[in-house]
Amino acid sequence: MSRATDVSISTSGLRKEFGKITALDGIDVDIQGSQIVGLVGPNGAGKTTMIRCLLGLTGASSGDSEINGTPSGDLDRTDRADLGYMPQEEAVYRNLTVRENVEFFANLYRVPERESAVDQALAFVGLRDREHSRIGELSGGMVRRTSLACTLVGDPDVVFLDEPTVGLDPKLRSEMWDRFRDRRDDGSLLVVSTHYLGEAHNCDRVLFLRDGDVLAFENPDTLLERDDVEDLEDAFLQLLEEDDAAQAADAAAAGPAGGSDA
Amino acid sequence: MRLALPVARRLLLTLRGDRRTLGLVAGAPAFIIFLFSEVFPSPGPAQRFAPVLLGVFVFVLTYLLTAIGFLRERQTGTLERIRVSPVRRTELVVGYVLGFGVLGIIQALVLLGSGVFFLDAEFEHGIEFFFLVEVLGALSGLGIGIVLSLFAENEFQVLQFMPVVISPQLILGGTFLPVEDLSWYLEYPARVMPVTYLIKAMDYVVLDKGAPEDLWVSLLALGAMTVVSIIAAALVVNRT
Repeated sequence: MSRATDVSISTSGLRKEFGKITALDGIDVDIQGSQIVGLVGPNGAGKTTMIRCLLGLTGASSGDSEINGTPSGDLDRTDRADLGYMPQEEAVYRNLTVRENVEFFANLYRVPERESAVDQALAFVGLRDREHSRIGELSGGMVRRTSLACTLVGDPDVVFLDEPTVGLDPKLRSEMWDRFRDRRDDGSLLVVSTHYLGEAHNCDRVLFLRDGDVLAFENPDTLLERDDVEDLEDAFLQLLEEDDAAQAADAAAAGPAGGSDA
Repeated sequence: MRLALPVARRLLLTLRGDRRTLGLVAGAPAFIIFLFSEVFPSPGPAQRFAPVLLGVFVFVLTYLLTAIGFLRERQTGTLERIRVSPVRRTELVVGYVLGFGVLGIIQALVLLGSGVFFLDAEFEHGIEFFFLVEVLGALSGLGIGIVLSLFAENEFQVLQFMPVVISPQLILGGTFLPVEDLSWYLEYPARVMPVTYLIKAMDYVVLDKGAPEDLWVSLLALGAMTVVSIIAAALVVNRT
């Protein structure tokens, strides 16, 4: 499997507002080379919005973002052939079989030797024995795995997986992370969003978002050492507390004119 | 445009797996035309309404199938996945055009059989014009379906557009009264509605009513409306 070595993602002052709500508040990141980046944070932190901005699915309010050096808004069909995206939703066709779904996306990516690529993608997610089942006949975990096969059949260099493990049992979650590491070892750059904070230890780096702000962008071990805790969930809780304290201090410094209805 | 083909193929495969929709597409028009022929005597009103029945079914069904199909693409996330893939938005819409074009031809076959069998329709100017009008009717419904699907949050809202967008066309488009006899403030809107030209074209094709120019004008108008609605659909696909 050949792979580009110059995979990269970068953002500079990336900001996205929906009316009065700020979903992303000036994000600056620079990610170079194959790795798994965990996009972690509570619900509503801005994880999906960041992925959608990076992919050019929604325009940023201000700031820049690039994938492999190309601005998100200028990604042409050649650039997009290197991208894979697994949305948070089901994102497969319920009236098609598992194989027909994967074949459809293989066709869109004009995959050479399509049959064997589809076989490989199905084997990768462990669904060869159910390839002729319709999606409506599958369990939720199998549907997610079909969706992952649709994402990977085009052999993309940069892969965005939005909450891929949600609703899966712990064994399946663990298997999925094994698959992600396989892709990373093959040279892919994967951005995996999750609100299961404990899953972050599977990542090479973790981008921790809260209310559209980056609270930390570190290696998981560095986070554990910094906070002197054994569990990443504890490290994240500590980060949240520090952020709360900082916000409270800012509010106090602003004085009573800032107003409080507590 | 190469990637339009897999989109069209996927659309037809999905319909194959959805037997209720297939029944709606193939069975329902024949059944309604049968009921019509039983209630109204022939010759008489059954023949008068034949062009309307034969013309608007494909338009309305294609509108419904496209609007709901596109809505589902948005809701389930497949549209976003497609937008990230190397497909151009024009290829996506052309794929829909090809898929629903094939479906329009299948529906036209059903309607042709039903028209001949139940309504004694004679198609004096040949069936090729009938197929052309049916496919243009399907494609003009398709563009409207894609555009309106963007304003719907669920399937129920797609149906809510029917009385607002589809029913006025059926009432004003020549079903009950020639468009020329409408008040000016109704005539002008009627003249920019696809159903008006569908009925006028079918009047000529099925009943030999009107002049050949009426057919050509109707075909041109339908063709232009189809192109405009498909271009509008291609422009708005990314606004999800």
